[in-house]
Amino acid sequence: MVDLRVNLAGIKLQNPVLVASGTYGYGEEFADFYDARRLGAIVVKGTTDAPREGNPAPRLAEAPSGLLNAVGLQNKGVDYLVQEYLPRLARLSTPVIVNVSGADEAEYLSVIQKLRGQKAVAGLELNISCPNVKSGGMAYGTNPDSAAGLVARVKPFCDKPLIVKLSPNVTDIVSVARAVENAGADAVSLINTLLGMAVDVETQRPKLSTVTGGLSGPAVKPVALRMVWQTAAAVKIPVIGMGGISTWQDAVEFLLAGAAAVQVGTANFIDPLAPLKIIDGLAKYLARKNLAKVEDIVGRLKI
Amino acid sequence: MKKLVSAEIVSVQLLNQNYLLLTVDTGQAVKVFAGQFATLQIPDVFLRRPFSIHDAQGTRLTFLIKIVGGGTQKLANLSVGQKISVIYPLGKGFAVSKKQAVLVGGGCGSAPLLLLAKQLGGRPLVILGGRTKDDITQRDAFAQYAQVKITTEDGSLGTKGFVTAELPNLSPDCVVYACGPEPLLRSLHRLAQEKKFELQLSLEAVMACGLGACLGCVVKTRATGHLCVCQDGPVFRAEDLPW
Repeated sequence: MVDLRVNLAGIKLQNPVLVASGTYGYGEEFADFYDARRLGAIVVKGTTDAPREGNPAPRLAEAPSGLLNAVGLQNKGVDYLVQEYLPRLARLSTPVIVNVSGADEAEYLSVIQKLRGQKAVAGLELNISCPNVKSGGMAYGTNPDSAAGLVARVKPFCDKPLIVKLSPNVTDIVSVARAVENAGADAVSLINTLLGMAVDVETQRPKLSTVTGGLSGPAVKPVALRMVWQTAAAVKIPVIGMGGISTWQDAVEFLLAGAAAVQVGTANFIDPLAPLKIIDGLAKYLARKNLAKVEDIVGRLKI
Repeated sequence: MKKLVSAEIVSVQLLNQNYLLLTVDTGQAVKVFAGQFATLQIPDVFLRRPFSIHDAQGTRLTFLIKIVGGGTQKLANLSVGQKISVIYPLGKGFAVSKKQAVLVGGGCGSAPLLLLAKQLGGRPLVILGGRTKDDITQRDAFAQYAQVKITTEDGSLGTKGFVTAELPNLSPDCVVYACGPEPLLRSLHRLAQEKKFELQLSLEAVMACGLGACLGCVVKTRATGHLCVCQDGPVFRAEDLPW
């Protein structure tokens, strides 16, 4: 029997397959298809202090093997999360990780403080990489000093493991990963979406209301995999890999490259059962390779 | 409850060069309310595509689809017996009212109205509008459940002009159910404000998940901010839209 359990910076997961922020809702949208208790963890939508309307429509554009989005952190705010969603999520035994977003340091801190003591929350994912908001978001994540500054500032207020979600829209992701590790991050997750755009040639207008948006899906997978490999080689904290993971083979690639766990994002939109297929496929793969546990392949890329 | 099924294609009928009638067998009978939709995973197309449910009988779903691009063309090229992943029924359909009903469909917007005419009963008035006669595709099917009037912009079938040309006198005792291009829906919206009839609009949007998770397909509403066309709609009460 293969043991899929992993300990992710102190968060105990029954398997290393998480669903990514903004792609799975709050555990209810997919409830008709499968039992969310099978997931390693649920990362809920980027949560800000005050409710946010997000960007105007159109927010989506399909790209070759990918999806551009410009949602812009639409959410009902941390108070609503705490009052409405967390009690319902708590009924699942699945660990819940809250993606914490903000326009400035004060907002990140406020969200984190309001989540303190919430038993339903197993971890925090600090979103310093949203490409679709004017302030905060990616502005912190594209500079090692500002990223480290924010992490150092919020870390003392975190009563749960702090995962920092990194932006791929940088020259050197390793320098950002190292900076947040030194500033106290317990783990890093990567990659958030790649900044991109698309144009409607008939109307001669951008397809997204914000002109640019975040690219996800299989189109970004090779870039994500490379960044995970580089980062995992450079930091000691766990790396959570994501970016276009749609099949168990994709997940195994990320684990071999050094990811301790993976997140499934855009694939949820196409095949709601993708995370389960990945969990099952991973177990079979490990069994076929005569490996007892997930960490037996983490970072075992043969070069 | 939403179902994710591998459905078998039982009929692929090209109605003309632009319209397709696709019927699949889902293997299970699920109650579908008029105005609800399904997403289909078209082979070699990245995202699922949403389509109004045109008809639902037993375990079968029928879609009236306008061929507008690569994805819909691939649907037209599917063969009977092939399997296709279908998620249904999605969204909230029309709110059936006891008022005197008028159904208005512009082009492919007639798709959700057939099931509505069936579910309303009492042979309501259906106005099918299009640019040309090619946009009027399911006249006989509608005629089984409704009184049908037709308008075309070029006059090639029915009354020349827009669907509004065939609208009866609408009072506050009437309800209009409409689906079609946004200019059509907006003109009905203006008319409803003037004549105070009830108006329910089925909106179209580019979607990624169709499940209310991605927040991609939003529409701005008057009182409640951005709502998802997929989950909170696709049918909205006209007065909720700040048009």
